[in-house]
This record gives sequence, structure tokens and C-alpha cells, in this order.
Amino acid sequence: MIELDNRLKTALADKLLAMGDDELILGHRDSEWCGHAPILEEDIAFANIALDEQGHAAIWYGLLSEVIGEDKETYPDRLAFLRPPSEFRNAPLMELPKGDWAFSMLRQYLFDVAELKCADWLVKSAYQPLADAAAKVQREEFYHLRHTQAWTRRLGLGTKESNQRMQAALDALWPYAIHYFEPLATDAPLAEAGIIPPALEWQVSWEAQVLPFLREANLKPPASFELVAVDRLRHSEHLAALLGEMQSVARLQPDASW
Amino acid sequence: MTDTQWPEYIVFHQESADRPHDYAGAVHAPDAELALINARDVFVRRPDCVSLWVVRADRVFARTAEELAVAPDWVDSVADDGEAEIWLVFQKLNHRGTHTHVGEVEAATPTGALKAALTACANPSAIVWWVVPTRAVTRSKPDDVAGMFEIAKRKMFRDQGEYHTVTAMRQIAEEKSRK
Repeated sequence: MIELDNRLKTALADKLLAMGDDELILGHRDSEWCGHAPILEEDIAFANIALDEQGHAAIWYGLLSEVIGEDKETYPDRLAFLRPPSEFRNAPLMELPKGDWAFSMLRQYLFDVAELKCADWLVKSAYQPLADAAAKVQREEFYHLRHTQAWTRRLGLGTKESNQRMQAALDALWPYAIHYFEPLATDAPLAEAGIIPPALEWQVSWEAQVLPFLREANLKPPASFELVAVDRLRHSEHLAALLGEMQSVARLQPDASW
Repeated sequence: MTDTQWPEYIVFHQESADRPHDYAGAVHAPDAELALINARDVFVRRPDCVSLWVVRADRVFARTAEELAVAPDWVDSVADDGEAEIWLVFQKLNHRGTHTHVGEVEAATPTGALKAALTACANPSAIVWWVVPTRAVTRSKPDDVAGMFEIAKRKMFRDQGEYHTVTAMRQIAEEKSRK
């Protein structure tokens, strides 16, 4: 197994934090549908997906704890519940409000393909613990994708209204989805060492699956768009509101044991 | 007013390869593919499933033993005209049990299938009979086992008893009373 020097260790810690934050924030957004989804079966299915994504956050945070020598049992909870918004490193795509059902479903679809492509690569990562963790994520993402793909197709090809809602969601989400693939400042040496996928290779594999699928679902990504004005370091106001709610119970008694 | 509900699908699950498919419950879905996905999400949170079948509820022909006993001569008038196909037969043997797959029969009509089932799968303890045309059934595929069912095996399920809430609350109350 590859030995991590200090530079790689710091870079990997940054990467795992960003990956964990992406899953946690998206998982929380998805969980906001619990009790509000359009039909009972979808309520259960989407809550299930939300829980899986939060489980993936726990996996990446746990790995991060090992890399930086923190306690694997308590550090992930501290990361999730006791950090201010300015210390979160999720992509802005994840913090956008849940919108309508089309918006949440399409965001989840775009993310599922990205996460699955990433996991497909990571299972042969030079850093074995990352490869092992990716194998767990891979199978769940395969199932999420089956669900979100089925819905994206049906809503895209469904009624005039469902297609319009999906197209509006795609117009709004696309710039954020593209932004999601921007590498962190510290990613390059990790990719060179064979620990994470090269950013461009990952994005290209995502586009190769997403573009033809969307076309078949009668949905068109916007031909031109404004670049996203926020990033993983400077968040929108939506993140503070999300964390305010998500962290409220934990912050009542930070030393409580659960 | 038109009915805006999605159709109902009956779900059967199989807990292991050596056991029959049992009735698990019902889901609503716009089509069979989503019915299968919904069935997995609603009924396979726990890891004991290797196969799922879904069938539109209106394709299930059901009769209780009581209904059949009211006019036992009905079997004599079954014509069963038409092209024969294969039907799955399910029985429920007691009020606490569930409908279990017990065999197949060949018939052209629901009543024909039921008549054939009463002989082929005869069981005096059966209290409910279901016959379902196989071509109306959508089944999970062997390829689905890894993606749909195996993932549940790695999940940790915590029983409520694992959370020592009452003990913790007592401790908090005791600490407070001491202060």
C-alpha cells in the first residue's frame, strides 16, 4: 500500500472532508422530503436514499479521522454537528434548497452518476482503505441510480408539465453540476499518486453517461450559462439555514452521549 | 371524477432460494418496473430476500374457502374456454399466516385456474386461494440480487432496545436532584 507523506496526508484529508460534506448536505436536503414526498412509496424510497448518503458521509468522515489520527467514534459527529458553515467544504450544488420534486430527483440523479463513476474508479485506488470504502458505496449508488434514472426518464417523457419542471430544474442545476467537478486546490498530487481519479477523466465519464440519457428523456442542458458565484469555500446563505436546523439538537447539549 | 391513484401491485418475496414466494404486501406504482423498485424499498430493508415478484392487484383472482363452500357446484359450470396459460397458485393456511406460492396450473380463465388449483394443490386447510397468470408477473432478475438485496446485508439495524434512553434520562434526573 502507498505510504502517505505529509503533503499527501493533508491533501487526502481535504478531499475526504469535501466528499463527506457533499454527502451529508445532500443527504440532509433529501431528508427534507420525509413526510412530504408526492406518494408514500416515494417518501420511503427517498428517505432511504437520504439515509444512504448520510451513511456515506460517515464512511468518508471515518476515513478522514484515521488519516489525521482523530477518534473514529466521535470525530465524525463533531464534524457534522459542531462546525460553523464557513468550515464546510461541500459543493454549492448540495446546499441548494430542495425545490420541487423534479429538482430534488434530478439533482440526486446527476449526483448518483457522479458518485458511481467516482466509486468505480476509487475501488482501484492506490490507497487501500479508500478502495475498500468505495466498494461499499458503489453498490448502494448502483441502486440509487436505478431509482433516480427511472424517475428522470418518466418525468422527462411524462406530461407537458412534468417535462417543463424537469427542464427548469436542469437549467438551474447544470451550472452547479459542472462546478461540482472542479478539483480542490490540493487534488493534483492525489491524482498523480493514483489515489483519486483525475478530475477531467471523472467529469468526462460522467458526461458520457448523463448527456445521452438526458437527451433520451427529452431534456437539454443549457447551451450557455453563467458561472456559479459561490464555491466550496464561500457558501450561499442556504447552507447556514440548513445547518441551523440540522445542528440545533446537537448544539443544545454538545457533550451529550448518543 | 377519475381516479388519480396509481394502480396497486401485490408483492411476493422469497426469503431464501429453498423457500417459496410469500405475499409481503402491496405498493402503488405507475408501472411494473417502478413497482419492483418500490417493493424493494418498502419490503426489503432487512436482508432476508433473494427474489421479488410484483403483479397488478386486479390480476389476482382470490376466493376464500368460505366463499367456495357456499355453492360447491360452481366447479361443474366452469367452461375454461380459450387459450391455456400458466397460473401461479397461492394458499393461505391459517389466519396468522400469509399467502404462499404452492404450485402452478394450466388454464384459460381465472375460474378455470382456480378449479384446476383445487385439485392440483388440494389442501383441506387452505382458507384463501389466489390464482395469478404468470405473464402478468414481473420478477426481479438474478442480476438484481447484488444491487437490490445484498446491500441490505451490510447495513446496521439498531433495535430500539440498543438506545438506553430511559437509563440516561434517569441519570440526568438524579444528577439534577443532587444539585
